[in-house]
Amino acid sequence: MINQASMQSSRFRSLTSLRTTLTAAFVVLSVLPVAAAVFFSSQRIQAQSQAQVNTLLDAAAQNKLDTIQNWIAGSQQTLRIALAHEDDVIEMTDFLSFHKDDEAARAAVTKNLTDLLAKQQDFVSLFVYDLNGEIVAATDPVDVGKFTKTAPYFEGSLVADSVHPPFYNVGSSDLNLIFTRQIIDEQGKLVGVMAGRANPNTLAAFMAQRAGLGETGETYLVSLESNYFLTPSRFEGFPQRRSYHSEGINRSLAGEDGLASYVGYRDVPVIGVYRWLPDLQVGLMVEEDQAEAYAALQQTQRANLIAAVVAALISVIAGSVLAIRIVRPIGALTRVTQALAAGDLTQRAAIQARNEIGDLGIAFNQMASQLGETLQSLEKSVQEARVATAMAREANRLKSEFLSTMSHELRTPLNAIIGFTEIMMAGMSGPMSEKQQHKMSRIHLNSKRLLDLINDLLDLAKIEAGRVDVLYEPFAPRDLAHGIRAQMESLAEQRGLGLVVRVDPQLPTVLLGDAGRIEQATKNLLSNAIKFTKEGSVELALHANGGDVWEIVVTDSGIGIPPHALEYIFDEFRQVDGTSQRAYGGSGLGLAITRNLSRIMGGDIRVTSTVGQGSTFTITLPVSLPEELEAVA
Amino acid sequence: MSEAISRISDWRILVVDDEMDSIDVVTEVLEFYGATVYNASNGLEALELLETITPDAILSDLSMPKMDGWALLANIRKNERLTAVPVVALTAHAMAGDEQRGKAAGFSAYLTKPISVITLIQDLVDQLPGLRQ
Repeated sequence: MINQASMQSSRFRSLTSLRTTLTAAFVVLSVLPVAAAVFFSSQRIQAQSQAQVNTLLDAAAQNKLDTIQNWIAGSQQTLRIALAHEDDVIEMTDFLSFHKDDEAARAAVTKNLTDLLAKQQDFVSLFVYDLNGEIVAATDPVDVGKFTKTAPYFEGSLVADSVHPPFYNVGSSDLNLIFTRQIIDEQGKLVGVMAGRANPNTLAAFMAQRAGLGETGETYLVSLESNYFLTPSRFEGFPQRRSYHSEGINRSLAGEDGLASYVGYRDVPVIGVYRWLPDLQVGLMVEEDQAEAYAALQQTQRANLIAAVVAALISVIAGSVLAIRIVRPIGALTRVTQALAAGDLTQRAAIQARNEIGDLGIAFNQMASQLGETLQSLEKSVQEARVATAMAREANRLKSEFLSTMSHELRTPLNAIIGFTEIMMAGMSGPMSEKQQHKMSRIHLNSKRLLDLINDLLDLAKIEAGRVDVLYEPFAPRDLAHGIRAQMESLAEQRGLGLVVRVDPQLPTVLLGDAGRIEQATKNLLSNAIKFTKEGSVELALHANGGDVWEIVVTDSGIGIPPHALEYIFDEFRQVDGTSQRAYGGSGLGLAITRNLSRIMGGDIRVTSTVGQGSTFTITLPVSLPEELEAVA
Repeated sequence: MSEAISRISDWRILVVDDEMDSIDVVTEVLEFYGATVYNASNGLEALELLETITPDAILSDLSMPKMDGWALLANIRKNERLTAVPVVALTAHAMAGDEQRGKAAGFSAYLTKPISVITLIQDLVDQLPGLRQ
């Protein structure tokens, strides 16, 4: 249950992350190019748009400049034409040189001026002053007698013909824009100056032409004198005679030409073109609010942004849908897998599309089918194995039962044979002759041999059936060795052999093990050794082998075993050859039993032998110490 | 040996076995040493006989028709008069564990066939330390 739960949670985690990853990938892949496109196109549009605005403003500025310069040239031309006729010049110079107080001459000059004024629109009044600055004749009678010596243009007008920087009269909003023309007599001597006062609205009219400048575009002129406006602002609340400052105004009045974005005099960001007009000593400004100038640009940008956002949204949705379409079959496959894992082998993945995931589903279904078949055959195998095990168990039980019955049935008649033989031999049924006695003992010996054979056979069968339990009990190897000697000594003596027993002092005094089995195995080896030795001695030695094993070594000086026989002497019913069997008797099971006993006790047996010199059988057994001894060691 | 023989020379011993040969071997040896021997060829016969006698020891085979040695032992142990009588298993069942099973079931001693005529008496005495004098 826990496993399933954890599997489920991990399933959700991985699916969520896969879907998220795919969606994120789609978004990144689709939004990034859109964003880049929008960014670069915005950059380009902005540059284009700025260039457009710049060009527009620049053109407007140039247009105003040209208009003003044309007008200045025209106005100057008008003044020149006024003194073009030689007669008029003579009349004027005479008047200035000799008849300044002559009213008739003044009237004649005044009439000339008035006629001239009527013929043009550039000037609103004309007047003439002498070198002292006194106005001696004027189209406006109130001007006559005034002095121009303190006027800003007076000094300049004595030097050259000129247009003079506009100026306001002290304490009034009247703008003066004066053109002057020197009056020179026949001797080339400067005798006076003719001046024209230009229409102050002319410049304002020029500046009011704002075609192509939009709602906020304007052009205006700024005076070097106190940064006054010389033409009205397009906007309410900005009187002309006030000092205005902005980056553009300051630059133009510093004599620079250029274009810049800055905060205009209205505290509004503007883009402005500024020009310095050296003739008039004024700054020409063309400005438009940035908000308007870049409105189209901003609109485009907004449209781009909206397009980008829409594209991103569409790609997010498309990405999600695609991700879900990819992930859903995987989720379905996962659920089928879980059902399969839970044991429902009939589950199959639904194939929704013929693509990689579809292929995965098909492969999965094939796998599920194969799994089903494998499981079926496995179940069959398990069933068969179960039957086989049951049969084997039954066979083993029958075998044990057979062994038990065999043992019982063989012992019963032997009991009678041996019993009656011993009764006869003991003389319980009366005395017997020596011959009878001898034959009785032959019967007895053979009966005993038959009994040994039966015992050996049963032993072997029991060991092979795995029916032997090995005990682990403390025993003293030294006592065991001496016990064995006591049992085997008489047999050795009967054969005229010596029996030597050695116990390694290094051997622990107490070991854990099955003393009965060890004794049985050792006695088997010793009785073999005695059986196959005609003279000399047989030795039993117990060796501590230093480490994990100890050894029981039985050495004889007997007939030995030829090398080819060493391989099979531990097999059942094998002696070295048929001759041996007859010569030495025995069941031929002793070594097989001994080896089996050694092995079920965790050890083994080995043999070395030289024909004619003797054999050495060595049983190795694992050293197992009782716990208290182990603790001391 | 001679001490053991003197101990059982006046005993009455019931030998139960379905094999006549086995009965004869044991009977001959016991009688040779002076004991009085009764025979029965299965548990049922033995029980019948035990209604009339109270022997000093019972030697019984285990595998017998009609009533085997195990059932016989169980019936004897139910009889208060016979509680003190040692019952010895004398059997050809000599496989490992047989003796433990026998002792666990309540047999006083467990001797396996073939018996040794020479040591039968001594074995009996050795395995029955509680024998009455």
